Order: sequence, then structure tokens, then C-alpha cells
Amino acid sequence: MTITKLEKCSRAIALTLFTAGLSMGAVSTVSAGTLEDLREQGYATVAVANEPPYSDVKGDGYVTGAAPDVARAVMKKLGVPELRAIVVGYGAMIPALMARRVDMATSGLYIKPKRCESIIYSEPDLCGAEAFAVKKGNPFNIMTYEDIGNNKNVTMTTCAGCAEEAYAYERGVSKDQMKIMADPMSGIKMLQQGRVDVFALSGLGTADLLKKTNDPGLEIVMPVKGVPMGCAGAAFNSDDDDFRDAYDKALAELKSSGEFAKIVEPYGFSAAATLAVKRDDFCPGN
Amino acid sequence: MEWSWEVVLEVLPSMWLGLIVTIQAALVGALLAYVLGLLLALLKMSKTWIVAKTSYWISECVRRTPLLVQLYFLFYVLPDLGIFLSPFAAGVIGLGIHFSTYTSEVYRAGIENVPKGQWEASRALNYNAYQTMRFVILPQAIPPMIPPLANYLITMFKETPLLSAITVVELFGAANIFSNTTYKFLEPMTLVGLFFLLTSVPAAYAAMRLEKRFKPKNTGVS
Amino acid sequence: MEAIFKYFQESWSWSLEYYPILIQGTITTIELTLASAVLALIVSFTVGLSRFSRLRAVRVAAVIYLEFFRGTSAIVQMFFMFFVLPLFGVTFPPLVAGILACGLNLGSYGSEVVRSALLSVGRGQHEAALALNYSNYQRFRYVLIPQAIPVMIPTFGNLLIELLKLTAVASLITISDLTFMAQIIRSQTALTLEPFFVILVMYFIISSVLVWFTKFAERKFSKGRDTITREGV
Repeated sequence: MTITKLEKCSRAIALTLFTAGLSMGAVSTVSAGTLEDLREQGYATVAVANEPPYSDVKGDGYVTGAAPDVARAVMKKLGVPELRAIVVGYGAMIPALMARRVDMATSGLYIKPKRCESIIYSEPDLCGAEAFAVKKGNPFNIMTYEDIGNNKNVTMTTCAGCAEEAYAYERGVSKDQMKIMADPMSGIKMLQQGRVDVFALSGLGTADLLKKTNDPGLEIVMPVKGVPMGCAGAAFNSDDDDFRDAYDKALAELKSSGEFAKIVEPYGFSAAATLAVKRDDFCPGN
Repeated sequence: MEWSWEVVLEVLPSMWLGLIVTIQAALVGALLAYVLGLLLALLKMSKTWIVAKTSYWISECVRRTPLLVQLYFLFYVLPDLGIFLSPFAAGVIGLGIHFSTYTSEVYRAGIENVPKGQWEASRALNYNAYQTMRFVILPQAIPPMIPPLANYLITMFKETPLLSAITVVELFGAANIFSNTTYKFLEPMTLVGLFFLLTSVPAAYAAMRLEKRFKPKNTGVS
Repeated sequence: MEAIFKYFQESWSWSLEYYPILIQGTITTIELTLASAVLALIVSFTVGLSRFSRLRAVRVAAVIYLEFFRGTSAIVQMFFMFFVLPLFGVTFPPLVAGILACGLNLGSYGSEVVRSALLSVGRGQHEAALALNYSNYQRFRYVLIPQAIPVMIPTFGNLLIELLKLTAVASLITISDLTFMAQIIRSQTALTLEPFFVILVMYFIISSVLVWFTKFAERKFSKGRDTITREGV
């Protein structure tokens, strides 16, 4: 009797799992599509990396922040009322796009030639300077990446695959000086605990982290000289040209109507800086 | 998707360095687990009820919670409380403490499996606690313990990828950093899997041989 | 006294704001654990029983599966399923990738448990079944497996806890489980001790429920048998 109960139970479970698996599998292929599909669906999925103020996950799971807010406004214009955000690690955003797990990615993904090889970008939506966080008094007097490269005793941290990592290596920082952090907050902790001497990230991102950490023993170095202004854009799968072009058009409308400035400036971004640049400045022909 | 041998050549050097760290971490972690486990086992078997119960619950708190979170704690929280550990140190201590809960069970089972008669005989011969353990109990208890202990070494080896979350650049961490920077995942991840297979299959085979060799001769359980 | 109050205010006020995502994370963790457990159970029995097959090909396939999934780290398997399979056109949603990786991985350990439990059933039972002219299927289904199950349960219980702990690693492939939510809270509040402490307690509670459930299953499946209990002998 115990056996038949077990049997019945396991058969039921197996069946449920199988059907669930099938339906989940079915859902997965519908996750990304062209603009028409999205309009029909009523929502678009976007990957964000939880890096305030670029993207911000609130206590109830609602995703806000400069990048998602701009994306929401643009998508509304395009007739897609809802934006579903998936929080992924920074380095996982592009793979998620390439695998079509999401329809777009936006969270301070700087437009970089290397990335342009794998994905396509919209026109820039968020531009800002770079920054370092260091211990108060800036003991090693670090003002640029070259300063770090020149002093082999100095260690720094940033995220894997971030623009800052590339900046560092290009300007003479050696691999032993670099300790890759797991996530920005851990990086700040590493700085606080003296595990590294310099923390590098986007200007506004660093400022936000320092504000939250509220540690009088840390200070910010901004802007970091010798590196280009970091301009981020919304990223799309390289096959989604039409989607991207439509996005660009709507974004341009937002910019000219002044709505764009209204969205990004409260977060600290300079609308003027963004309006002054074009995607082709960073990735010609993307 | 095509396999690119160029990528393999690019990532191999850092992965090789990572492998060395992996092996070091696994060995040191295992050593710690063996030593701490024995200590924990003795505490759990203590005649003083409160000592036994407290150590049981501490052990369960560690055993029932994820190693990943424990590592975060050791690396990011302890310094705020004054204890500063390097990534490698935090990693092996985390591994050691976490797996000591398992090895302590192996020790405990091994010691309890020694027939009661042995203990009584030692009493009869007026052996003190040390002599009892050293000459009578442990020589009988240890051989059957060796296969499971060896298996935990292999398990710890496979848990080392978690250390990448606290910035230890071991095999997996090295591959992961490379993948995040270059967006090439196929070659590095496959290589990591291969490296693990190449190390753990022979190790598992060796453990199986150990098990045959140390098979307890008088298992009466049918 | 005031200092303690201030500490609680500063370091725990986030819980009022962020408890929804913690609850969501807990639910995801439990879903992940249970779904993987079911998969692992199915795999364990399938692979474990295949080790006894008459067909050499089936036995070899089972061993290959075992060595592959047991011999590589679960984390590597997860990353592989999440990052590499899409390159071959196979894209699972993160949750499915997590369930597959956890389930297949623990299933390999489970298959060994099934196999050794079946082997532990006394020779006499095998021989009695043969004497009664039972077919292979009948022998396993009516004689061996029922007696093997009580032996399997304690170890399965341990594997269940391992499964729960493994789901924390799923946070690294962006599954919004409990550990992932703790990271989000960290990034919003700059607190590390408090969020991590809370999830440690949560994991301990869930684990303890699983342990209790295992003990319950042990008792239920041992009804009427004279098995050696933990306290006895």
C-alpha cells in the first residue's frame, strides 16, 4: 500500500514537472521579439544591473532609475505600455541579450567598440564622467588611471567586463594591481577594509554608493581625467535593427520635447551632455 | 557556435594559475576540516550535556546554511567586527568550518562503531582516556573513516568555485573574469568543466580503491 | 539603551521597506529546491536502477552520467547551462536552468544512494524472489525497492539540505533567490551584516523544516520494520 501511494505520488509529480517544463520551455521562446510582437504582448523585458542611479531596484521589486525610466518613456511612445525588468549581473547583460532572454538591456552599458561587435546600441541616453573612490585624503594622490599604473604598490578594484577595467589596463595598470570585485557594494567594502586602495566606477554610480555608505573615511575623485566621457545607450540584439531604429526615433522625440531632460536630470545626469553626442561618435556604423 | 582554439590559448595561462590556487585551497581547507571536525566530534560526544548540545546546534547552524553566504560573512562582515582575513584565508577557513560539520559526523560514526567491548576492555586494563583512544579505539575507528574523509576532499575541491565570490582567483574565477571581459563563454566554461573532470574522476577512482582497501571486515549489518 | 535603539533604527529599518523582496526570494528558493528535488528523485531512480540493467549500454550510459555530473562542480554546470547552451540555441529561462543544473547534479549523487541501498538489501531477498519465479521487474518493484527505501531516506534527507544550499549558488546566474535579494538590499542600503544575517536565519529555518520532514518520512517508511534506529544498538 505504501508502494502504490508512492507510485501514484511520483507519477503525479512527474507529470506536473513534465507539463511545467513544457510550458516553461514554450514561454522561453516568446521572451524576445520584434516591436510588433512586443506591442501585441503589451510588455517588453529589459535587463538591468542594479547600479544606482542608472538602475535601481526598490523594496517591492519595482525597477526604477535613470535608464529604465527613459526606456519606459520610449517604449510607451512606441506603444508598449509595460516594461518588465530582470535584474542580472553587469557582466551577464550582454550574454542575456545575445541569448534573447531579454528584449533589450539598459543600465549604464557604455557604448564601446568591443561591445558593438556583439550587440547594437540606441543613441546615447546617459552620459557621465568617471570617478574613483579612495580613502580620505587620497593618500596615494590618485587622480588618473595613469597614476595607478605608475605606482605599482597601489591596488584597485572594479567589475569584470566594465569599461573601467579596460581603461585601467589600457593606461598601464598591471593585472596584479587589479582585484575584480563581485559587485559594486562589495567593491566599496573592499576599499573601506583596505583590501584595495582605489575603487573605480561611473561618476554617478560611485557618488551614489558613497552616499549610501555614508563613511567619512572615504572620498570621491571626480572627474577622472584621461578617460573619455562614458556614454551609455540601450542595447539590443544585433538582429533587431528595426526595433533599434524605432527606439532611436522615439528617443529623439523625447529629447527634443524636453521630456528626456525631465527624466534624467533628477538622477544627476546632464541632459545637455547626452544631447551633444551621437552613437557614431563611439561606434561608427553600429 | 564554433570552438576557437585561439581563445583557449588566451585563457589557458590564467586558468592554469587558477588551478594551482584551487588545489591549494582544497588541500588547506580539507586539512582544516579534518582537524576541526575531530575537535567538533569530541565536543559533540562530550559527557557534559550542555557542551554536547551546544556544539550540536552550532554544527547544525553551519551545516544547514549555504557555504556561499558563510563566505560572504567571513570576508565582508568580519572585518567590521575587527577580524580581517585575506580572500584565500577567508576561503579556506570557510571551507574548513563548513566541512568540519560533515567530517565530525564521520569521526563520530567511526568512533561509535567500535564495539562497546573495546571500551570496556580498556577500562578493565586501567587505560586512561588518552591510552584508550590512542591504542585501542582510534586504530580501529580510523580505517573505515578514510574513504568518506577522502570523498570530502574531492567534494571540497569541487566547491572551490564559490571562492570566486570573495575575489579568490581560482580556476573558475579566472575563467569567469575572462568570459565577462571578452564575452566568450564557450571555451573557458568547457575548459573548466574538463579540468574538473580530469581531476575528480581519477580522484574518485582512487577513493574507491581506498574504500575497498579499508573496507571494515566485520560488518554484521545485513 | 539609547544606543541599542539607534542601532536597530539605523541597521534594521530596511526590513520594513525591503521585506517584500525577501519574501519573494524565499518563495523562489523554496520553488527551486522543491522542483530540483523532484527532478533529482526521478533521475536518481532512473540512473540508479539503470546500473542494474542487463544491457551493458544502459549500465555504461548510467556510469557516464554519474561521473560527468558528479565529477564536475555544480556551479560550473549551472554557468554552462546559463551561458554556454544559448550559444547552441538552447536558451532556458534562468529558473529552468537552475532547476536542471541542481536536479541533474544532485540526481547523480542520489543515484549512488539508490544503488547502494538496493545492494544493501540482503542476498536472501534476491534469492527468495528468484525462487518465487519473479521477473526482474517484479523482483525490484515488490521486493527490493520497498526494502531499500527506508535505507535511502536518511541520505536523501542530507542531499535535500545540500540541494537547498546549492540554490544559493543559483543567485550567481541571476536567479532572484534569497541570496540574490540580500545582494540587492546590500546595494541599496550599504549594510552587509544585517541582510546576510537574516538570510542565514531563513536558510536555517527552511533547512530545519526539511530535516523535520526527513525524520517524518523515515518514521513513516519504517513502520512495522525492525530497522536499526539512530538511538538503538
